[in-house]
Amino acid sequence: MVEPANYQPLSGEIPSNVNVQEYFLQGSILDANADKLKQRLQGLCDNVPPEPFTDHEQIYFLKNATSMLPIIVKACKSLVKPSTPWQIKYVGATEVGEHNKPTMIRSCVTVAVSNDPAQFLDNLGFSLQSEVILKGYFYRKGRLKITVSKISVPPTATCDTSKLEASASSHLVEVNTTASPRDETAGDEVKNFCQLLRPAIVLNKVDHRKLQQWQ
Amino acid sequence: MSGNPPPIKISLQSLSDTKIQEIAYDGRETFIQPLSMSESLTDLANRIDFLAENEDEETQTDDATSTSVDEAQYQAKQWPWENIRTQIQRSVIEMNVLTDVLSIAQNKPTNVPKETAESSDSNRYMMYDFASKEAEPSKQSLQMITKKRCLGAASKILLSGADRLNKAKSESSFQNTYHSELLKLRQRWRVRRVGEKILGELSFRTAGSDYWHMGSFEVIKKSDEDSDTLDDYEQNLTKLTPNVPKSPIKVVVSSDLRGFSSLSVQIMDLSKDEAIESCTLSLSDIENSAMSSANDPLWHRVLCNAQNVLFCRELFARLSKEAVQQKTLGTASPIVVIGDTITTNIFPKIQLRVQLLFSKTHPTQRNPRQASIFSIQNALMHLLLRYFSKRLNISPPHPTTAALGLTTQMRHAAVHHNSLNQLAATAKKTSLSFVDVLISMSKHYEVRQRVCDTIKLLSNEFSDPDVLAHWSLASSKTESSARLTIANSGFESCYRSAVQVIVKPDCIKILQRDARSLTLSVDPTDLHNYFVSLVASHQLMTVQVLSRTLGWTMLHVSPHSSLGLTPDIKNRGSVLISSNNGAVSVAIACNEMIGGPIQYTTHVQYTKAHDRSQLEGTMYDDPDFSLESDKYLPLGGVWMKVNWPQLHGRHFIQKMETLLTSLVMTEICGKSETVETEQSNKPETEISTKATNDETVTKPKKELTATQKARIERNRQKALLLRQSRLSQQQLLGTKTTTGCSRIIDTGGGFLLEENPDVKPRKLNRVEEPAPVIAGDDSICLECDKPFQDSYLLTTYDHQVCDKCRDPEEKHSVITKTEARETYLLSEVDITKREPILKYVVRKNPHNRRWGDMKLYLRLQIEERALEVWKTPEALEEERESREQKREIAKKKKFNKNMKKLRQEVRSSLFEVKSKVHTHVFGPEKQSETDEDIYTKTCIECDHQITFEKM
Repeated sequence: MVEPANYQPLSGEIPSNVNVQEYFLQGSILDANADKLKQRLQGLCDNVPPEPFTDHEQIYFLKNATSMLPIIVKACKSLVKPSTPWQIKYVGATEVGEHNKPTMIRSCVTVAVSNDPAQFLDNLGFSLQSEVILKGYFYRKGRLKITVSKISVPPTATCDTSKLEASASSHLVEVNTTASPRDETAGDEVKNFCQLLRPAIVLNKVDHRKLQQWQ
Repeated sequence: MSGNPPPIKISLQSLSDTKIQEIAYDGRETFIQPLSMSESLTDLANRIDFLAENEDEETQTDDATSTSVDEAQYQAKQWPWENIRTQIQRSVIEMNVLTDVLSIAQNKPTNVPKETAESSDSNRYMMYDFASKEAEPSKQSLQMITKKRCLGAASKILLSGADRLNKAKSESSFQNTYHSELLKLRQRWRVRRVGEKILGELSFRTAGSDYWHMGSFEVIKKSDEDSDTLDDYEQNLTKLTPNVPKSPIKVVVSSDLRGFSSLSVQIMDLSKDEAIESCTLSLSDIENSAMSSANDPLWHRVLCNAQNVLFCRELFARLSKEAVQQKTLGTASPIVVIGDTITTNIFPKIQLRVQLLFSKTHPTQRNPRQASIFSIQNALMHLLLRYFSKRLNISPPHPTTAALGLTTQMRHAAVHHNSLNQLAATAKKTSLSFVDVLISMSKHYEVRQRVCDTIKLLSNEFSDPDVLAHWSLASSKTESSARLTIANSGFESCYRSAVQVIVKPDCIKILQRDARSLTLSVDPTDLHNYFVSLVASHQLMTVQVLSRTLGWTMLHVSPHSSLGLTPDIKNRGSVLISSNNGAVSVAIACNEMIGGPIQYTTHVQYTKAHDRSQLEGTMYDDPDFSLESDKYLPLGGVWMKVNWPQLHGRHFIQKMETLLTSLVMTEICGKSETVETEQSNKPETEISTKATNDETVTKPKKELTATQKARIERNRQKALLLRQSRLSQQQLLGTKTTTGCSRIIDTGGGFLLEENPDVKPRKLNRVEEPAPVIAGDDSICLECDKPFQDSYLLTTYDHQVCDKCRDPEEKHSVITKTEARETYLLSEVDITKREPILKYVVRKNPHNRRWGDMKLYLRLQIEERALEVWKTPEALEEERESREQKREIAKKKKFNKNMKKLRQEVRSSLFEVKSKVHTHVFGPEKQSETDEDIYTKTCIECDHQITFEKM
């Protein structure tokens, strides 16, 4: 049996075109109020219990010859479920856009890899910029992904999840979804969901360029 | 008092006019309020006692004054005088009585006798009598009117009061019922308050649905005016059960949800243009039985109906969406979606039609046949629910950057090698096609019906062997199986054919006893042909087995010789047997006329010596079967055709038995003759050789006369004839058990009946209806990911592993309860009470049968439970170690204690009590840095610190 060329046994219902945009909004909440937010999220999101996760993210940079902005690749690994494959995520430049755009947009490509891609990325010329451990809860509503996580710096060598030192006294909250750039509704969907979280947390567009100026 | 000499002067002073009522403890005095003028007057007046007046006083004047006073007081009508007035009145009466008595006493002559005095004294006497007050003249009519008016006014007041009370009460109760109804509604439906409104939702979203319709409704309070008015739809709703309780709540659902909806699935036979099977699916049918009752309030029905409409529409939307996407799916014609109907031909001329019905009025009562369920209802419902749960239970991405919506297998497949087929299989397993299931189920249903019909037809068509079909109870929605047993009654132990028929949506699979499996198409003629050949081969096999037991020899068997003499007769096999000395051969051919029943043609060949007089009438020369040609010469001899109806027996095999036994019988009868013929080699001159033989036999005895010999011979011949005639008669009439095939029937009532061969016994027709399809889902093995229906581990331990993957030695080993408790440090409660309760198998104790039963648990499950209790294996290990240590310590303690006791008992003189009291040995005193007076000192041995103050 010969399958047609566009047969995608793996992708399922995921849009298979590479040109995928990530629509997202970020914000932070103090630890003291995080529990309230979690309860609210559980009420708003799909009727499944929140999924605890601990992800190890390594952020690699590659100097771009044509542009000031470097090429950023994140290598992510789950510490809760070590058997799941690593993911490499290419993250494009964040477009804050005009006022009529509801969310920040960046292009992104996610690929599953079997081994630690450090060597591979190193060979390509990437250099490890920073690494963080995100520990928190994952929620979803339809195609929206909502994460409430605590950022901490990984201890050297061992990745003992129980002894993590938090780098700040607040949680990172991110609402995002991936869709094709033609999908007009995705951004609104994210925005509308974020409206529901008010006033517990106000998720707004943040100009990443200002944050990245220190580089 | 006056006598006392007053040595001291006492000055008296009136302190106050008012009296002291009370003196408080602090010396303050509370005064009685001075009387007002009127009060003091009343007081004074009360003190007057007219009755206590002196009798001697001038009555006249007193009377006059008192009357005047009385008059004045009466006129004044002042309250203070009321008392006085009554007293004066009384005293006036007294005075009047007194004057009367006095006047009588004055006028009475003293010396006159009583009679004369009375008569003469102008009838003046005194009598004590009650003074009756003269009643006032009453004005009847006027009184009545006034009375009526008064009563009317009073009643009006009462009525209005009652009315107001009623109103208030009903108002509050209405409010109460509204709230209690709202509470009831909240118990059953999801509602929330948005501003002033109460909104609710009846969609299946929280269950995992993604249908666009929100299914929101609004709850409003009914006002008094419209509490009784129902619109058409509501009237329709209440039509079936008129005694719907009134409720102060009204729900408003969007108009497209106001109606009655159902999904009808029909299998139509296009050639006859009628529905073979149909069923309607609606949530309310299923709910009606379980959830709602006749006493449900109207709002509940409205909402239930709306939800049902939503459910049907969602199901139909899914079906039609899939139907459009996949045009054909193993069907005879493409799937067509037009409006609210999906049609396709699952087989030629057999159409499957799914229709979404929606009406504003209540659908008429379905006829009971239409209500027949062929489990599509359940299956579709089940599918939708599974779809919901699948949507909810997608595996969360790890790390979170991974794509959403992939299954765990998909995720792993991304980085592990997999063949395309494996991936396709995984994708197929995870995909959930409604149309696919619907079509395969309806196909299966149709095929099953066909198989069932064919078996029925078969068992009716063939009167001869009994066909028994047992439909397996355990069947899935796309597979069911039947076991077909073919046997001849009375010869079941002789031979029995059994085949397993597995009905699948696209084919019929047949497993034979010889482990051959055939796959037939779904065409019923295919199956019919197979069954006919099956019956034929069964009969031939039975003949073979029978002949072997009767001592015949098999010469030739051809199970499937397809060539026949005439083209319209199909040969289904033939057998050639001969008696063990080869004197008689029987050839049986099993033929099937086109469109007719199976016929058995049997030819019998005798050697010339064979005496066939006994079977006279049962055989005839077959004109079709002339063997004149030279090529048939090796067959030898004459072949006679057996006339089956003439033979004794109920069915073919019994007749066959009769034939064979009687043939053997005749052989035995004629045996001596055959032997003789062999000796003499003169079969033609039978009688004469016999005669010579007889001579040889009788020779040594005695010489007999010729007449004697002749007589003996005559008698012998006569006896032989007699016996032969009797034999043949018996065989033809079949009255006695001579051939061994007549049987005795046990009536079961204590009588043994002899069988009547003329009456055919009632045909066994044990074709069962197939069992209803249980649309249960196959369990999926945890080891090999393949679906299976039943397995040892699933039934005994609820562990989803199929029998193939079961590894009783290693992975699925069992563990006794005691061992489990010791090894995994589980308490009794953890094993027996904690949910889910672990299943176990009870076995006899191997050490001693009288001891308690051994409970065997699955080690895998016990390990899981242990992890559940102890969270991590490390924690378990730690606990085990700590317990070990504790046990050690306890052991040591006990040992020491026992030792001490022993010493005490044995050598009490040597034993000395070591009662050591710790005495603090304090070090140097230290002065506190903050306060000069505070000093501290510490015990050198035990670090005990004392803080004290030095003055």
